[in-house]
Amino acid sequence: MEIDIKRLAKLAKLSIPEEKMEEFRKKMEDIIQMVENLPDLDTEGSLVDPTDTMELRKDEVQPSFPRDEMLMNAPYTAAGCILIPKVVD
Amino acid sequence: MNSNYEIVVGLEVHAELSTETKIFCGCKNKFGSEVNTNVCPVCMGLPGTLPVLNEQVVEYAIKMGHALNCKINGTTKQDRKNYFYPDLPKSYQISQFDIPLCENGYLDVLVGDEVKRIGVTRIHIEEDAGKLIHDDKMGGTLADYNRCGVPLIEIVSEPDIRSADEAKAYLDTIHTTLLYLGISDAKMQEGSVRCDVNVSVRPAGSTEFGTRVEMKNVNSFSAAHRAITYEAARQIKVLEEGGTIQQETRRWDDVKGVNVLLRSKEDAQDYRYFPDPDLLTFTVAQEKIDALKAEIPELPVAKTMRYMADYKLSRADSELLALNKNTAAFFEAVLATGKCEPKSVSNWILGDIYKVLNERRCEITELALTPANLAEMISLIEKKTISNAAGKTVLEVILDTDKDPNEIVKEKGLAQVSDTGALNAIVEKVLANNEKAVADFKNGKTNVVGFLVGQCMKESRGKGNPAMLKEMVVAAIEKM
Repeated sequence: MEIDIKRLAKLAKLSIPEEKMEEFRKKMEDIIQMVENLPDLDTEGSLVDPTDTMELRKDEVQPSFPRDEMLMNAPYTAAGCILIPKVVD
Repeated sequence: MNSNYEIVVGLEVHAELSTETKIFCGCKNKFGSEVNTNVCPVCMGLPGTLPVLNEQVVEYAIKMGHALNCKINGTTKQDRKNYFYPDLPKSYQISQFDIPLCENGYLDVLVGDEVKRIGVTRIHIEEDAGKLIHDDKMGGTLADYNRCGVPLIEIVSEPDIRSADEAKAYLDTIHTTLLYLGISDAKMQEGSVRCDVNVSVRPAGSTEFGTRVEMKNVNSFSAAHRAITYEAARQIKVLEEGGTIQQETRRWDDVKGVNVLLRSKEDAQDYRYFPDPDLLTFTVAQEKIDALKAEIPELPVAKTMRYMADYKLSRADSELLALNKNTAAFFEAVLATGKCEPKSVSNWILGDIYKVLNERRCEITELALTPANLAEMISLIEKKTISNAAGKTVLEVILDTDKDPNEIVKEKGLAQVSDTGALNAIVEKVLANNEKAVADFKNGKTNVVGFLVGQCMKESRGKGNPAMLKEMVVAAIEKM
């Protein structure tokens, strides 16, 4: 299987130096190979399994997290917000 | 618009659902809270957290599915849509890919006097992203994640829309339907309803679609109308000049009234959808799906059609009454008393009462006015107990106090005078004081009779019976 490591890197927002490209391509190929060696699952028909389902949650309010504690995870904060580098759409 | 071309439009409407809590956690779903106060590790996407789907979201979405005549997929799942943007802490949005909760529906909308059926491809549930506040002073961007995880439905239409007017009618109908179902605040100004617009053009008579362009940042339904008109004209100009349309995404700038290229096809996002491993398949029992269908009220377009057919009201009046759930319910409650004619009820609601609602910027349900009192007041006019003018006086009182109109008529002495003797005296006095008008009438300007009746009404302090007064004025002049 041909792996376009440049495209994968771009989708994952990773910058991989040119000289490392071949190394990563090889590693990715090994991963794909490993997955391909797994036994095939019969995916004929529906992708959903009605015998293995989850319970839904009642629409009841639970306390949120204290803001100060949440913001402790962020490197930069300002005005109660996480401060991030300027983004323009 | 160049009539050699046909416009083809498809719309994607995102509506925030008015649940108590977010879609995957118990944080409050509330607009306008202080920044980052309705957040927790789940909606912030911290490692090790697990989303749990809110059943109310599923039920609200199914209701919309029923309202738009969709097939409901009782067994479905959720998928991850991957993209990097700082308003999305997990770097993926939990959405639905190949099995939407609702699909293959349609919506009938009124465009002018025509009913137009617009296909609805699908309605799926997903989570909203946070809000970025661009702040030059801080030299960066502020991220507020209160909106992260607010439940959304995305309603995708078929490319069945053929004009900006049809698009506007479709959006208005989606909007009133959301309000009728009580599943969304549907406040455009708060961004709780948003839409993306897909536009293409093709030579008139062609059955193949042209290349479509997607427009983002269309923030109101009237902006959608402008954006479609602009984009269609832009594409026609390109084609007329021998160019070709590129498949691309453009950003609508409503202030400038133009759109600009956001990204071309080469830069199109690759979302790499896959089933969310944190969320299993979920099922909704057929009995539940049916029970939700039974809860769907009569919707605005059906109401409009019924008002036109059953009450012989004009399309414009029917639509105005049906547009607002509260107004429609009030109108129907007044009719249910069986005391008055639909046409007069409609006239009072859309006339004097609407004026008050506009002035006070409120809903009819916020007034003290009750359907019973309005019905009684109108029936007093229809029985000729009071004049139309006296009706307005009664209305002023019952707008803000729950008081029997009969009492008000008694207290204020508003009962109409139909006593010939009393009215004759008034007519004689008015004719004597308005010799010029009388002369005009005799010279063929018969429309002055309205002025003379008006003077008589004034003389009677609004209590005279205008129909009787008119007859008497004409008779008296002819006798002169």
